[in-house]
Amino acid sequence: MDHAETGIVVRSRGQVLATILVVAVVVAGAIYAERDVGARDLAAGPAGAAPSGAWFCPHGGGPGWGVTIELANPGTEPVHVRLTRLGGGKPSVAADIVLQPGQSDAVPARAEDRGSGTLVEYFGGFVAAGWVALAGSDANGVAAEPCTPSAGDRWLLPDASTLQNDQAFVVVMNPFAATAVFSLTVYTDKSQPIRTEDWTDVVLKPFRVQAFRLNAKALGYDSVSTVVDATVGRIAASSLDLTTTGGIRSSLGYLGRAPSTVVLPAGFDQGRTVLSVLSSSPERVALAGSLLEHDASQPVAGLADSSPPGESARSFPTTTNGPSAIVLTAQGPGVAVARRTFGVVSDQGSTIGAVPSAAWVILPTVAGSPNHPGLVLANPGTEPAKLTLTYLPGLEAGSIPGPVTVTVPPGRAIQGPSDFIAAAPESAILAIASSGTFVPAGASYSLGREGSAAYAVALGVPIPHAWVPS
Amino acid sequence: MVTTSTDPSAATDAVRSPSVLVVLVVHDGASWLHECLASLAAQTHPRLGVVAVDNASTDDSRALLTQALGEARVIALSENLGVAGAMKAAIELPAAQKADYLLVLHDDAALGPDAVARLVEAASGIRGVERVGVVGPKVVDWEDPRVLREVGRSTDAFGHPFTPLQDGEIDQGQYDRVLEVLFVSSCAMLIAREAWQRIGLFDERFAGHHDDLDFCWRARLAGFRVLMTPLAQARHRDAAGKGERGEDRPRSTRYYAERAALASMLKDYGVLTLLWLLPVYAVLGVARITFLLVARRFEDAFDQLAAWGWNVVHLPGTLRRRLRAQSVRRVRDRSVRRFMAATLRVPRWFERAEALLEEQLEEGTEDAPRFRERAATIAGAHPVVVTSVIAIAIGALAYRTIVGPEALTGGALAGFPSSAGAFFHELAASTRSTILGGAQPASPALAGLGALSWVSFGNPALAQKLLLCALPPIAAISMYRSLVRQTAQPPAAILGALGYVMSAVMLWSFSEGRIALLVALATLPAAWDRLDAAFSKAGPSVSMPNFVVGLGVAIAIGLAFEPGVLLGIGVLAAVQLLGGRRRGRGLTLAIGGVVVAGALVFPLIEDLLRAPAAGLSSSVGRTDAWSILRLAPGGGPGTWAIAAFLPIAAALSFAVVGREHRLRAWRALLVVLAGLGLAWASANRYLPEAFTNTTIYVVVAALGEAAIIAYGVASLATGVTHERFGFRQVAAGVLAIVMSVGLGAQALELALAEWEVGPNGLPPAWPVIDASGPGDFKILWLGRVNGERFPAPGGDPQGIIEAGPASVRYSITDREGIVALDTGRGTDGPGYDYLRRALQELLSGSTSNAGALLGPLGVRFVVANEGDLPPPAAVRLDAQLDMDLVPAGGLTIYRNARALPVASVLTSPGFSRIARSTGLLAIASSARSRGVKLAATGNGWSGSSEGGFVYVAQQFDSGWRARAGASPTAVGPQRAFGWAMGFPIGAGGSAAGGGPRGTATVTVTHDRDLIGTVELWGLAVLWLAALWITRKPGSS
Repeated sequence: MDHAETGIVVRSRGQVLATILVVAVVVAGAIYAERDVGARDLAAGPAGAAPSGAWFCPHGGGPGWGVTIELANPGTEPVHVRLTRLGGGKPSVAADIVLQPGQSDAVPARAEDRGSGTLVEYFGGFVAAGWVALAGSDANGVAAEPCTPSAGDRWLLPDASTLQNDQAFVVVMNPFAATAVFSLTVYTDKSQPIRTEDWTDVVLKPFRVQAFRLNAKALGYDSVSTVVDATVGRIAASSLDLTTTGGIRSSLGYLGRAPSTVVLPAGFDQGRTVLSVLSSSPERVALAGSLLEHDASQPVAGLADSSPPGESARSFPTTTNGPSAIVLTAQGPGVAVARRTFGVVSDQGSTIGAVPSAAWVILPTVAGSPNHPGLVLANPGTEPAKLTLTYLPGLEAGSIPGPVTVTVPPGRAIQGPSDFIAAAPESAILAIASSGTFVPAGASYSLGREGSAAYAVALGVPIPHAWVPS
Repeated sequence: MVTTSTDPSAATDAVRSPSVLVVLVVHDGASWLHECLASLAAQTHPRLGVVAVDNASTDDSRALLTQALGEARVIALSENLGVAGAMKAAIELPAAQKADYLLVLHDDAALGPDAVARLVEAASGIRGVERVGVVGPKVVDWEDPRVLREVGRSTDAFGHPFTPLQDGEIDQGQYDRVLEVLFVSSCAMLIAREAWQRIGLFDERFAGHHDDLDFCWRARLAGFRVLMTPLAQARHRDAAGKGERGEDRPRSTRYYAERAALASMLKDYGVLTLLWLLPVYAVLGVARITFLLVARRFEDAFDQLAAWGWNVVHLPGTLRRRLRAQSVRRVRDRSVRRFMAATLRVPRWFERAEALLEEQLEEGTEDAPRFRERAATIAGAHPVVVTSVIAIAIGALAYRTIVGPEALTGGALAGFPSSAGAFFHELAASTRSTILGGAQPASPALAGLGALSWVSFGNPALAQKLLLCALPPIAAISMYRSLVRQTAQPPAAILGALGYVMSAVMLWSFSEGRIALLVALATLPAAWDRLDAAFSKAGPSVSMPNFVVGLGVAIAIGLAFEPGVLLGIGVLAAVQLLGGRRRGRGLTLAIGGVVVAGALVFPLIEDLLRAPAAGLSSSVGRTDAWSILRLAPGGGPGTWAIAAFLPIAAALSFAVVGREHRLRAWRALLVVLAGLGLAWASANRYLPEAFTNTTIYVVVAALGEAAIIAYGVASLATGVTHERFGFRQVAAGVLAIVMSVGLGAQALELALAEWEVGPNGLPPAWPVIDASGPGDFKILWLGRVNGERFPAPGGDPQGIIEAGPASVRYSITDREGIVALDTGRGTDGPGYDYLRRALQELLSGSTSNAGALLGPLGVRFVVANEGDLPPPAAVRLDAQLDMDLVPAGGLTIYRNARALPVASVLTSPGFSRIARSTGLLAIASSARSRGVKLAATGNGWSGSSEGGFVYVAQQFDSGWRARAGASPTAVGPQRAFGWAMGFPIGAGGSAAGGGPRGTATVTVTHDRDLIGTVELWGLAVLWLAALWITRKPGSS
């Protein structure tokens, strides 16, 4: 039958071809769009217009203690800083100051209780913050430590001892508006991890600080470590040790997990160092370390063959000569290391490790005068670190020397220029490397002549990339 | 009906024939009266008398009667009192009082020779059938006696009469048995004396309309039987119905039927029956009126209301007659209801639906062959009925989780307010009451939502369900009407509409409770159809003003709910402009339609012009091309791979489309390609923000594909069976398989689906937010940029903050999430600009005080779906000093410690200074504020305070005023943070508010906006005018 006769529309070959063409184009277009085009990239946003940040300083304290919060502004703009005293009661604003660019300042903080801390907020730039604690009637000595810029739900605190004459505390700080709930687990070198009901699900109200006395749970241990796990909220934690024979020392914990390789600088001590190693996971840990000194580097004796068991805290004594740094690498999860150093007479210092960076602020570590400040610069890298030291003078600083340049050879730890360091011991120092990276630490004696005064050691404060002065 | 059998011997056994008086009711019937009189003269019944009542005839009727019957047998009335008046006049005659039976006979009815004898025989001579009160004959057509007109009638439970006969049903003896019925027509009605003496006569108020129903009903109540005997036959001319009496009925049939139905119910039902039946009647009546209004059948809706009004006015008379009717009651209602139909007569509704839908076919294609002659191969003689029945079966399964008593939540469903009045309140309010406030006017859509909520017994939650369930069928009907006009092929149009309603985008929209998008899905086909007509060679079938306004209404409805519809209209219009025939006329009409639409939603237009992106754009929609190809902007039931049946079927259909639909098919193809391309570009952020709306483009593509299917099927239906076997036959087979599999699988998916919306659609962690204390607050929703909505009730993202790997999509809502009060309204203004600045600051990583930055907005919670935050953004949120992560399963919730109440009196020193600042640094470094929260009062806020700085976290509007205590002086607002409002008020004051000593009541209210009120009334007038212009003719 002829289609035309039937009056029915005749099929069109062109229509079919057009359909095939359209389908082919659509499918090919889809394949092309999926494989080669994709979504438009999202642009990077503009830089922040209202920079701000905070430091959490769980410094602790005691009767008659004097704690100062050391602040330094390495930037080029004035920074508004607000300090809030935290303790067992309601918080109160301690100071609302403006820190001028290139200056440092020290603000007294409340520290009548072991559970004392300070919240440092800053607006409009960046400041570095740390604390210097001068023990009061219940102890002797000085402790110094930078504050932590972060809070979180898990803190590893490797350094403490509960031997006779030692009192060890963990200071936990909740600087937020929400209640925190956390538990403490104590590790020793001899027993199983200690978890007790009264240290489980501890509720800490907003803006409160609480101290926990480790001696109550693990008495008579040379090495006691603590893990603080928060199930609700965020916290900051540090350790605080008081000895009737060895002064005081404090060190921050590691938030979350410690870097696998850290540098632990110290100096101006009697040459005796104890590495406190916390292994919080059940697995054994493999440790390796090298000791950097001013003229050589060598493996840390006895460390290479050691393999601490899991869920334990161990201490590894070693000896050093002059300013030094230990580069320690731990193979295994949940490991944290702190370095405890001993002053020439009795006081002790403690610090955790850091990773190298190119720009640091070294905050003062002295309390009162006379004092004898020191600076250790460690370069674990393979190229020399050429750095410039510049004072960030305090408000009452006198004549300040100009910037000095120092080169730290690779694989070495050296002492900073003595004359420069001694010129303004209560001022912060800005250290910026034009090449290479390094880790600095302040190590000082206060309230006496060298060898007969309180010893303190504190890491420098790395400057975030965005705030490194050009 | 109840069937009884006759007993011929009974009649022959009669000792004495009963007397019958025929009451012939005449009114202007001269033209046919002689046949009636002749039929009476030919009666075989031996005892027959005739009396005629002339109802004020103006023709020769009276003369004819006098000539035939003599003066004495003619009663002349001075006015037309109908059958009831005629009967009343007749029974005053002694002969009438004595007659065993009265036979009411209309002048346009002619009896068969033995009709009276047979009627009397049925009334008195059927063995076992006692108390026969009324008997009617089999009524056939006057002109063609083969056609049945009446075999007794019934009603539904609400008194709406209906007949079992089909139109034009031929008498083949199918009703040839004595039937016991509810009522018979008064055109020829034999009434036993006992019956009328006991129950009275006809209700004269009905003026001849459905008075037979009421009379027979009362007879039944009194225990009399009502029979129809086929042995008696009458021809009926129905002169009044045909308009042959030269009188115009002032009202429609619907009016009289409804009037009589309600009055009969009120008179004849027992109290207990009325107690349950009247509420159901009211519900159905309101639903019917709503439907009629929606269908723009205003005259019918008015008639319904007028019928109710008549009953209200005549209630005293109705009650008096009720007393009479009930006083002679001998049987219960259920005995009467045996002769009534079911309460809900679904088949009749379908027939009506089919008639309404096929209007489009009749309007658009005058010469098109009748559907029933051509569609037997696809859906039988009643495609709409068949499709509707199947759709209802599937819908019943699909809606199973939705129809429960619980309110719906989940998906992207916008919450309805607790009262219908809230919609109208928002519509009439001078300021926006949601999110960040401001002067943005509400959408006219709120009037519709409010009206629907009102008719849903004032229950917005019910209205929400009704809307959600009704919109997909409405979209299908809209698509069907569009396609049936274009193709003149109902089966093809049905297939196209089915493809459309089963498309992934439709099911996704339903699953997610996207009412606004469903409205767009329903209105776009109507707009597409009108645009097609505008650009076609033949042009619109209605007058140009009507057409333009109709197009404008279609666009405006979509625009009011989903402004992005404008983008879809743009695509459709551009394609018509490219491929249409009469571009000049089409463009003119299209522009006219858009102008009308703009006028109908003019409060929104200003906003759209000022910030088009806020209204038109949408950030929802998957980015992958394959999802877009199968028209799935998101996940959920029906968006699976099977959803590709629609594009595949469209491709097959396009290949077989014939010459008569080819141009339309090419245009539809352009629509599809443009829709898909724009959807992909939109989802992948290649379009300017104002043109970014993936879902609307996908809808447009779905519309085009459904249309192509209809064109292809229509081409195949015109003769593929007569052609030589070849490609078209193969394609038809494959198309049939694809459509069958696709529609079948989608239907199965529908039946088994777990929709995103449901009675428990909120995340398990939602109580963490919901139970966080009294007062209003805001929620900031964040997530990665992936085109997905937020967890319920967060709704869709309002925008994107680009910050490299920390980029997020965001939305800000009130504490209850997205709400229907914001239907059709974007988020725009300085408050939202501030929000974007604050978010940008947060994501830059430079701040640790984002809580302080978000605090002035009233943001108490930042919420994200678990795992949905980009890691850098999560890190930055974690780093915030003033935002704390709250434990919550399934959601990531940060609580903002620095959130300010929406309205408060702040006493912190220095807050007013900070509030004057627009710099984020000053805000971030501000100290924690203290103050007193003010409570919402409906038109503002109020509370007691000792004075301070009243802060209101709403966008600045100079119409707000704050008052303290008894002070008559109102304080105007200052800008706070560059976008919000602050009012410095003095300390203390009198204790006017009854608060503690030294405190005063602080109130914040907004002055009445006269211009806004005028605008609102203007808008109402415009809508009424538009709907009146485009109204459908009344059913009478």
